[in-house]
Amino acid sequence: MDKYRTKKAAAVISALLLLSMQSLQSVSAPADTDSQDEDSRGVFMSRTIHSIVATGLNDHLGVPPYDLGPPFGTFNFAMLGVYNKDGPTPLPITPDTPDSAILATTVHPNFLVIDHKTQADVNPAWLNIPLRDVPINTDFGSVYTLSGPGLLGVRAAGPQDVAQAEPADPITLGQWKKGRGILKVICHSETSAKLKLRVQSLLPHRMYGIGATLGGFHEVPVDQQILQPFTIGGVPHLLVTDEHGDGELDRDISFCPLDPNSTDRTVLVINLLYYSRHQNYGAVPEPVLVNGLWLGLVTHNHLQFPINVTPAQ
Amino acid sequence: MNHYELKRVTQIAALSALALLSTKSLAVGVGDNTTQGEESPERDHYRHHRIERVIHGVAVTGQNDVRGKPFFSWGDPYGVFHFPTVGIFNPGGPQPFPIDASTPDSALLSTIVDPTFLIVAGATEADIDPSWVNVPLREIPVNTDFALVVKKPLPGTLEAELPIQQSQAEPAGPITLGQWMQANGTARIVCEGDGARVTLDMKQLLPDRMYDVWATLGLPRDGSSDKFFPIPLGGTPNVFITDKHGDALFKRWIKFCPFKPETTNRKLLTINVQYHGNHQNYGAITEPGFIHGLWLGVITFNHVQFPINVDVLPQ
Repeated sequence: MDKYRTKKAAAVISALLLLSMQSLQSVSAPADTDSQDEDSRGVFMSRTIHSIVATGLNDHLGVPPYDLGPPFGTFNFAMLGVYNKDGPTPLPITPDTPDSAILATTVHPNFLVIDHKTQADVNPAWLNIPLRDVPINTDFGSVYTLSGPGLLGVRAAGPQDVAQAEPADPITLGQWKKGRGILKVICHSETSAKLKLRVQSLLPHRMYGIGATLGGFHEVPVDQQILQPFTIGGVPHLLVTDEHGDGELDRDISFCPLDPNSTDRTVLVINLLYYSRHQNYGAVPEPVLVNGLWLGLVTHNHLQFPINVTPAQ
Repeated sequence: MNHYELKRVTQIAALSALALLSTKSLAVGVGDNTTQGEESPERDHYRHHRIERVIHGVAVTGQNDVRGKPFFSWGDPYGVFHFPTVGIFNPGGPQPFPIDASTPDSALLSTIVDPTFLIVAGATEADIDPSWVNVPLREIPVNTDFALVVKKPLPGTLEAELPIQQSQAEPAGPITLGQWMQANGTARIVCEGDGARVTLDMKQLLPDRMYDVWATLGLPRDGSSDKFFPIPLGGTPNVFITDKHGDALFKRWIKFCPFKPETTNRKLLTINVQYHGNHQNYGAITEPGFIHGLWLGVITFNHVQFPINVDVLPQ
């Protein structure tokens, strides 16, 4: 590898150091001009954005759908694999993976590189776990470890056992792909905006968290830029789906994500992450720096909303 | 030890998990083996008889505590045992003031750890980090880093110094007793078939905030434990997020009928709706008091309680 490539690769890696999660672009629809909408009054800029189904960071069935812009480009990694009943590691998801495939935990090498880790830093016992069997904390003494068996669903468990809410069937790729959502970003000014998220057909009765992936600071040279996750709209950045897998979340914010100049860094994408451990972690998506709860083990991008990115070529 | 003291000790011992805590894994202690996989006559009876009841929730300031007084009796031997999980912010000292019937609605709510609760939890004053006590509810520190080390209070999203800054969702104004006590809700429980559908229709809680729902189970009929036990009602995640009005709907299916306590090992005594002041939950446990000192009353707070199989006291 020549010096330029080495430097560029290093820049990308360092740029992604804090990312530890999500991302994606703008297939934006025209502005919401519904005059009946209370939020349409005094609108400075608005957009209705349709989700894509994600299987990782900038990852749709193993393919990067978006160019995140320099220096990140089409960087992507998976946060889901296919359960491999014959081996210790999950199989990668590809466009050819059948809908019947059972989703499992995974830790993608690209993500490990970001965090300066190797496969040796991953507990193999936590890999290739079907999503429905991810251990849920039941112990007052080990809140941040991933141990113990997964919980049975309420129907399969004893009447008063600790269990997971129904439905608790295996999660297949086909079911995952049914998820969809619409995000309205309504900017009343450069310092006032509203996010209105409506999602459908996600996993029923389950916890999700919204987060933005930010690009670098505008004034920082491109090769020194750092991506960062951000709990846009403030904590709790969560929604819990109903029995149909539907949910909604509204938040007020003090900048316009559609206008990169309204703040000092750009919102590239907004993500909706599934919390397979039925637990959240305050203002961060997952505690990657404790106990090896890497991205892809306890949090998994399900929907991504492109804000300021372009389709990958 | 006189009769009163003996009774008090008995209550405390029996309630050592009432405060929604246990030193051991939940999964170990909660089984209901008496009916699991069986078709007892009682169970067969309610399988074919639909029972529907609507129970009104009560805004509380603690465990069986409304402004410092109990509102129901647990029954023997616990009686009207109660303790607060919120206090009143004391700007002039380290300890919050207790809430009572004369506390004004404008009083600012804060964290509190009740001494009775400490005994119940098997802890002492030394197990409390004083910096977590007498903290206004809106200023409870929130985890802000990937190592789970840096915890700090977060400003409201619209009052943050920078537009891109960790914050808490609006509204983020001070939480007063008056606002807290406006909370209400109904629990519609329909027993049908092998279990029951539970629908909580919650109103006027704190807007855009995190809550979860716990079933407090009484002592086991088989005598296998002397502790009450909380389980996530209807399974995990037992969480809901309120909307901008503080409203929320929570629906779950449970595998027993609360109105047929004879069909289960433990009675469902109450349903508790708990506010999570640090915007974080912990899976199938209420809070990690024993390893992080994050006790009930420090990060989690009973807000609405539904009396199911307890005796509501005359008001």
